[in-house]
Amino acid sequence: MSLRARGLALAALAVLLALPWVLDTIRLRLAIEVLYFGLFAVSFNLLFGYAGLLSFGHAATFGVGGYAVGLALKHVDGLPLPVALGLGALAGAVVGAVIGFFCVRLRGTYFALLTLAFSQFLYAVALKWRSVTRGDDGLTVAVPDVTLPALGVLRTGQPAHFYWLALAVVLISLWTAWRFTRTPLGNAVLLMRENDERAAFLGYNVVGTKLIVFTVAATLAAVAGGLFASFQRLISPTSLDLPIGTEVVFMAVLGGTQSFLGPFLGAAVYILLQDWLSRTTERWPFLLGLLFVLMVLYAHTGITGLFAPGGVVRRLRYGRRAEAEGAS
Amino acid sequence: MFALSVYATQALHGVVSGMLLFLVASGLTLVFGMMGILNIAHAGFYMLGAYLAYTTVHVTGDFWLSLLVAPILVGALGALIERWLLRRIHAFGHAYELLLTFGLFFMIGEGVRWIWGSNPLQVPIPSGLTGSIPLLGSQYPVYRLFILGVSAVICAGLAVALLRTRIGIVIRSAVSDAEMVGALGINTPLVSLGVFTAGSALAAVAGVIAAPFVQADPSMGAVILTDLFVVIVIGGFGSLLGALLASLMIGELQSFGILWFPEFALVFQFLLMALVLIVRPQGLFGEKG
Repeated sequence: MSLRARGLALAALAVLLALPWVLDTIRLRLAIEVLYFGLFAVSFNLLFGYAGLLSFGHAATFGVGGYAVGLALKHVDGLPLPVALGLGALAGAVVGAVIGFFCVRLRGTYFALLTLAFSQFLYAVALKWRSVTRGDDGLTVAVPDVTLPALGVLRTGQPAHFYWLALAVVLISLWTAWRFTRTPLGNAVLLMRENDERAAFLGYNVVGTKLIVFTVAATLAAVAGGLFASFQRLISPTSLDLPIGTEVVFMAVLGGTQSFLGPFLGAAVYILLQDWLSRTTERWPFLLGLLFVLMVLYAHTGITGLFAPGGVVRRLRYGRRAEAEGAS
Repeated sequence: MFALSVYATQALHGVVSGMLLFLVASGLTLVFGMMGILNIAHAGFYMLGAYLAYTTVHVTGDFWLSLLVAPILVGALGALIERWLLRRIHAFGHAYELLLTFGLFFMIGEGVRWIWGSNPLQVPIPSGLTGSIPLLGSQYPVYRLFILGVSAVICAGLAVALLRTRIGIVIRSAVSDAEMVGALGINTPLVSLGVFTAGSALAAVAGVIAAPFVQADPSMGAVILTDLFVVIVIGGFGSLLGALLASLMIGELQSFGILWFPEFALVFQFLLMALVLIVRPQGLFGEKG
């Protein structure tokens, strides 16, 4: 990292840490939603943007993470929240590995449909297995406070405290995901997205590599789901259902699937837009759908794509020179 | 546990809903075979058909007119979508086509809520088709038999058109290799447009005849969508015969699932779909893996 990049990152971190003193409670709650949905969207994009695998069932491990955290806190007395979140991540990894084992052999539409089938299956299980999940009433999640050495107690009932907790978890998760994309394995995934037959011919283990990516994405989605469940203090079958699984697709496409943080930006824009539209008009889902269709038609590289080399913004500012640079 | 006539009635219920499902699935599977697009908005076309039937009956009082109005309007909508939207983004790849049709499906669903409201709307059964007749040892609703008859006629019509006419040969060849058919001098984009339009119109017909049976409901699109996915996967992508068999299987599975395991009827069909995708990813009658 260059000195300038380091400076920018530190400044961004300072701004993020200071947000609870700037925002009112309602906006702070939105910021918390942005954090976990942002992580969820980035984890989705490890599959879609990096590995070229469009999943319609990414909600599966989001919900599994939520349920695992909820059940762990319910049945183990005195379990600290970070441990519960870790258990949620572990559950996501296990379920992700099982689902991935079956899915990563398929491509394109087949992959999208099989992931959807698994998430719908889990949805039906969560809905019907009332004795464990309490069906569509949802499972109430009792979230304990977190005691930090030297810093005192984080009261999870207070939005500001929960925000700091979520920020820490999300930043650690994002950093892990970022490191993962920079490993040789992460690079091999890009090769497989472009041409997995050639990758196999060069001696790469395509199925194994994709399975690892799928499991990592599932684990991160479960962390996001765990935060979601602890923040809402409730986890219900809708967390596994198609609307959540497709919202995350929209967020990623909106932000731009070509960049690492694009989906995070997309999640932020989506949540703020949804909040604003739903207060302005009753027809907000229609407008969001229209926006989505227009994005796919005219700006399928997303918001970050507009500013990327060769993107519309640079072309408008610098003319053809930037376009040529983008092509080179 | 149950009397024999219960099984017979339940089996017939399964055939009826299976045939209805096939009417919707046939257009979807042909489009997938030709263009490689799984058109999620197709389920929205079916729902639009039901709502247009409601409006036609409401305005004119004539159910039969809606069998003309709905397919024409929805077919035109399908043609516009194929020509002006899907064709533009073909170059971005299948993932974006899938995303586009998903966005359209979402818009149709919300548009329906906007125009017709969120409550289910009852479409009355046309006079002459109400009531029940004795059949298989119990009373059977006439309207269900009507659904069965209409679907069987359309199904036979499709078979004749595809197997016995020149355009049918062109479509079947385009399903197996669109590029080669184009190279032989046939205007494949036009054929795609035609198949897409016809498929959309067929979905609307299914929506119309389903309307008195299931009510026009803003969630009916999402409900049939999951069934359609299962049918397309089990039958094999692009195979009409596969879609027919899979539709009947799902119809029976739902019919008897509700009888025996009402709690887990939904789980079964996804298990079946997952099983087929794992063991035979190309489906029962699909060709390519």
